[in-house]
Amino acid sequence: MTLPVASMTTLEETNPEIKEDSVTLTLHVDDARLILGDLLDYEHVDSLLTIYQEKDSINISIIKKKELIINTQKGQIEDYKLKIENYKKLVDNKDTEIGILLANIEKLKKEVKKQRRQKRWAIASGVAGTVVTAIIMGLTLGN
Amino acid sequence: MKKKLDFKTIIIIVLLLGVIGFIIFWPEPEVDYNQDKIDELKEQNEDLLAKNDSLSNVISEKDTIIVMAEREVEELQEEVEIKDSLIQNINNRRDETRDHVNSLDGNDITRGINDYIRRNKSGN
Repeated sequence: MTLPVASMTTLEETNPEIKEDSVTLTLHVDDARLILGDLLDYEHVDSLLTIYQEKDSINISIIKKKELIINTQKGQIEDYKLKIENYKKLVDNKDTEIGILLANIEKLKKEVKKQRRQKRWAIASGVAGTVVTAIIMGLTLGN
Repeated sequence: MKKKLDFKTIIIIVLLLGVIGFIIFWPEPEVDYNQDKIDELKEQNEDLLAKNDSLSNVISEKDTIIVMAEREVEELQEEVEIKDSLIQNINNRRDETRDHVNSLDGNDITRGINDYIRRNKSGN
């Protein structure tokens, strides 16, 4: 692309004829080619500018969408952290429950031992009572 | 006629009464199972599970939002690709135009400038 200064220098060398509202320029074909080339190039640059602006606005939308995704994922991470906390509490509660149940088992074992002992004593007492009764009865009947 | 109770009968009656007394009045074994505490813990766990279920629902709703946003991003990226190819086309056309202008003679150049002016006027 030609610099404006270079183009202006070329125009000054053309000695333009000015009549009322019209200007007649006599240009060398190379200079005219340069001007046409620039004009057409500016048209393309204008189109490019519009497309770049559209692309820019699309990219801004993409950034916003990605921000939404990131924020939503951050929210999900917080939710997952809460879930993990809840599961930890749940596990703690289950541990406590298991502890209580194990303590209950111990108590029941002691109770079973106690009742076995009592049962043995009851059987022994029953046998002893029967023997004593039989002896007393025998003695009584003997008399 | 009154019959006198002999010693043997008295002992049998006493022993029978003793057995019946034992059966009736023998205390039930008292074991503290901490059932209240267990019930409380179970209730807490049910609450925690319910909270986690609602959190799972929230997470799944957010998943839907993310999936939709990602789909939209993909569509937008396709649009960007279209714009990039347009930019590429225009840049190619710029090069072609430069080459084309270099090959024009005086008449074609004048026609080109006139076309440009006409296009700009109609554009305005």
